[in-house]
Amino acid sequence: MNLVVNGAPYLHGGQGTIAELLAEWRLAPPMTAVMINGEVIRRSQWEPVRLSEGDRVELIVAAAGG
Amino acid sequence: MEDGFRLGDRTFASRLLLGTGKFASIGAMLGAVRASGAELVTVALRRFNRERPDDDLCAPLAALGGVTLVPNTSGAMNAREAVRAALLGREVTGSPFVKLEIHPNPHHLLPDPIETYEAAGLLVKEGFFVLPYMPADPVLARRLEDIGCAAVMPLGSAIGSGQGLATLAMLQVIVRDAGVPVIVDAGLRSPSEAAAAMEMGCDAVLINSAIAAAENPALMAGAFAQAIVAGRQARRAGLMPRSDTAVPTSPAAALTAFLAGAGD
Repeated sequence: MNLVVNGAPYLHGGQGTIAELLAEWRLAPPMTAVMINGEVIRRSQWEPVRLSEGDRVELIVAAAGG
Repeated sequence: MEDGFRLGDRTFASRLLLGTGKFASIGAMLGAVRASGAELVTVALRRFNRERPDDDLCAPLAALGGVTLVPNTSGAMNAREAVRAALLGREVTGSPFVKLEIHPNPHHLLPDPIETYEAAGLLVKEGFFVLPYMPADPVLARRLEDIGCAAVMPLGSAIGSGQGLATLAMLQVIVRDAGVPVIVDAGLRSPSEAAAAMEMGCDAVLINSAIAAAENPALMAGAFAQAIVAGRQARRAGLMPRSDTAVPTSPAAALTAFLAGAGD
């Protein structure tokens, strides 16, 4: 499945769940935010979500800032 | 706790909020957080970098213990983007607080009052404790309080400028009228300025550049912490009235009579 993840093309090998994508990216869920096509997906809603061909996904973490 | 700092639904001992930007290393930042005693620490957001998977801030800050993260909305150019950033920040940190900042012009980084007001209303409805970075405008401060912001955060001077309390006169009006905590955010350079802000009645101070850009950030963090405690104690103690003329501390007449008598 072809996605755009964090602004770059990405070939996802799974069934399109958020858990699979995070595992592919080796990202720990507790400190990550997920946005799909501009919509922030709350953690409680991750499980039923299925990504689709062409989806734009943002994987966001904390950074230094004032 | 005596004289706790009430913000949102929580009470903090420290009245120093610390930003995590511009430190030379994560280690230097963590050292400054520890030395500052800050319990409220701001973070920004970024895309996860697969090349540097361990470059994470939340875990080491959480490991310090006693730190509540305050994600900011830095980078947002308007209310819509700020709301999106706040929702992302809540997912990343689990914090109910958000430092709302919308400063679209990179040359001066001054907050956009109209977009800030609009975003604040939306975020309050979403259940956030909204801490808006704002111009030192008493009218706007009241309007942000009225729509439910948990505090107001007027600037002392431009972000990172080190120009101190350039907005002092307006800050005094905001403090006098505010029913929510007033947190001076941005522009301070020295601990004496933080003490002055506390003496004039501000409830807390947010510092980033002045500590991060110091030669010894941890030492400066401790200096700010002490100055803020001193300024707060002075405020609670009540400053003496100011006089245009000298007011003697010893009874001048009695002293004169004694000296005159001793000389006979």
